[in-house]
Amino acid sequence: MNGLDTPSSLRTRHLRIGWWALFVFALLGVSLEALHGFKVAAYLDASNEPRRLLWRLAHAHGIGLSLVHIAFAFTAGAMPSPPRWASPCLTGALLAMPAGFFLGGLLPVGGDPGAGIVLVPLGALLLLVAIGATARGLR
Amino acid sequence: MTPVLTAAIAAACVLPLSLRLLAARRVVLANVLWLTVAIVIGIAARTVTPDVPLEPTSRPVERLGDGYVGSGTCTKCHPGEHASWQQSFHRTMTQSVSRPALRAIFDDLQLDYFGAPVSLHWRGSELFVRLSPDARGRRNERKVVQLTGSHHAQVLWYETGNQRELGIVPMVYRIAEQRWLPFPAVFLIPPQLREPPLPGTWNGNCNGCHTTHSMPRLDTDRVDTMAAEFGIACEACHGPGERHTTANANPLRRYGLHYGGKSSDDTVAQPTRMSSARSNEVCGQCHSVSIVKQQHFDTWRDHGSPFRPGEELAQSQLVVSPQDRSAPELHRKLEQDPQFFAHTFWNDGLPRVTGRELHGIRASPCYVGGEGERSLSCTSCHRMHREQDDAREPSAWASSQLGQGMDGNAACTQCHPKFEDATALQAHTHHAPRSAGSSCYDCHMPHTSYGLMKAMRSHSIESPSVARELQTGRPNACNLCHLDRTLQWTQNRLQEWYGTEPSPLDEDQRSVAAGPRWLLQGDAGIRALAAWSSGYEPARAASGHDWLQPYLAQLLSDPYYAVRFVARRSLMTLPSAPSLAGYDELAETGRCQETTARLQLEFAATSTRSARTEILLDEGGMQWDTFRRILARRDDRPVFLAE
Repeated sequence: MNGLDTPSSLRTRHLRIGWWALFVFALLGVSLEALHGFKVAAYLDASNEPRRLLWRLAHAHGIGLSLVHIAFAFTAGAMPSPPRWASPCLTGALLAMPAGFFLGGLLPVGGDPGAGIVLVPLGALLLLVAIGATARGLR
Repeated sequence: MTPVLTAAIAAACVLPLSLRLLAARRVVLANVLWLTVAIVIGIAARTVTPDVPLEPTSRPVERLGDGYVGSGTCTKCHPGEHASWQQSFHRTMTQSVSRPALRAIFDDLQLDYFGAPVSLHWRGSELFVRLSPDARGRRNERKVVQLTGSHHAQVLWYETGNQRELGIVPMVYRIAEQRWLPFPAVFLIPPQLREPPLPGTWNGNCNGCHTTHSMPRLDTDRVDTMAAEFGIACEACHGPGERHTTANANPLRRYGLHYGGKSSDDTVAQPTRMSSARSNEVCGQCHSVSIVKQQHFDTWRDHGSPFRPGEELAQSQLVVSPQDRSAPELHRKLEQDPQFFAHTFWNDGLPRVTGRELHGIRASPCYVGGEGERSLSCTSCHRMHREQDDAREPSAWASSQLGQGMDGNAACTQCHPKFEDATALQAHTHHAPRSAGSSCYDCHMPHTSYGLMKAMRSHSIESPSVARELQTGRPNACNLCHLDRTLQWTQNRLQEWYGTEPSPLDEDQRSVAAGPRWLLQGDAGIRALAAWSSGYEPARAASGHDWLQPYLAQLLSDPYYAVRFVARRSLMTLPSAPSLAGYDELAETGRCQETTARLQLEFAATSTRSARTEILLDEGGMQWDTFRRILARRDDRPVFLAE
């Protein structure tokens, strides 16, 4: 987040974030499989279809963004001047997008996600900024 | 086109990564290029018109329009409600023929329609019926395209070749018995009426309530029947959904509704949030005896019923009442069937047939005297969508679509909580609290409607009354369980317990039990109700079973096939389980009488039942003279219970 980040420190930070996040979201995936295994109605009933969809999205985005963090660690390590905004935005996206999907699925309203879903576009915006900044930094 | 889109996006992501030789800037440019291609392909995929199969021209079709969007649209936002509707029998009221939809399993079937051969056979995924050869001896084979029902019976319909007109396959499949029966045997109609309904009956009549937004489009030279959706779907009760879906495509509106504190969305009808009167009419658009009003007839014929859920039903449909026979809509009906009222109603206006519950509810004090949420509505007890915490199997809910606990006294104690207390209940009913005699339903909603080859509960909440039976002919609730007791006995109890004014009774009403009288001298409808009650477990508990055999045996040779079927079913549940080997309900009456005589003789020879004159048993056995005397007074007026 500060301008003093070195490629090495960024690499270490994002590897750590990426692997721990991978662990957390893999755990979420196992939990979702367990909900399937035990046929939990709150997850599987047709009326809970939005929840099932949103939690799967939380899992998928969490895993995907974890991998992006790991990829970013190697990218940043190879860059002479790592982009200033990429790291905090990527971290924000990792928090906001899966959390938005998860909270949206926790208490859906009617056929729509709950209010937590507002975190998703925020996270998406942060992700776009991070990707753009990284791409720009590769010039 | 989805796979193409997916492939394009995948290529956009993967291909540039493989081009390691490209400089970083080129990677970005390549990504942008490929993403642009993917987006263009995606847009193209959405605009390319998919291959649409040609619409059949020889059968009714589903066609959305007039604001109807179909249940497939509703499921996108209401998957739970859609899923529970999928489990209901409303959905399968009308289906296109397929092997999974047809409950009978066969490849080739030879049936007999009162001596005329009818065969059904599958050819691949298509079903064909072969009827009797026509006058020129030509083979008469038709493609069966549609079926009605999925709960009790299934009726098949074939293409007649006259545009979209359907004809009825004259054999009906009874699901519980797993048996094909001739159409006239399934319905309680005079036995001499053996002609199946005319071709076009479905187009002009059945489709009105067996589809969603039916459009008969039926003239002398046009049979162009269609419906928004086959079966009773979401929009039958919630109204056309186009306005709702269009408005709620806006997420801000949806979240405004979710979090804005508004209790309902005015773009869609919600029967549970209407007044009882309007809510009941949503169900009553089909569950009533009603006729499209004359001024709306042309609209109905071409564009379907103008009724929309939430509106007053009387604006578009005449809900028929025997008390008002002057309406012009009735003239044509009465010309076709002068006995229409007698065939359909008890003479106090309550329907004799099932599926017409609106009349009963409107006549109920719980509706008339109730206010606001305490006014009786269909949704007081029924749930059109299975509740999320309903632990019952979906099939258990679907059978009656009653809410949880609504199959017992809890239905009534919602508004009459004092009867949750066993002491108060017993003081009211004079029966043990957990007995059938303390069942609100059995006393206040007895089985006095007939349909689907069984007795069904009246939906008029009323108190047992001998006077009403004398006035209307409708069996009273007490004797539907106490079949072995006389009207006099019932009258005495009602007078003693509730201070009911006694009515004058004739000799038989004073001395012969109600059950035997109904079974022997009632009209065909009453005989069917009494025969069904003879197998009803609470009635067996109250009045015993060891005297029923000669009466039910008598009904095995009843002129009406439906009465025979109901009597046989009750007879088979007697602990003595008399042998019915060789008996066929569809045989000529003479042959059936042989079984009747045999079972009555068997009873006379083996019965150890102690004497009770009310049920025509004395020390010497059956009082056959009295039995025959009462039987000779059987009400043989034609009964046509048009379900």
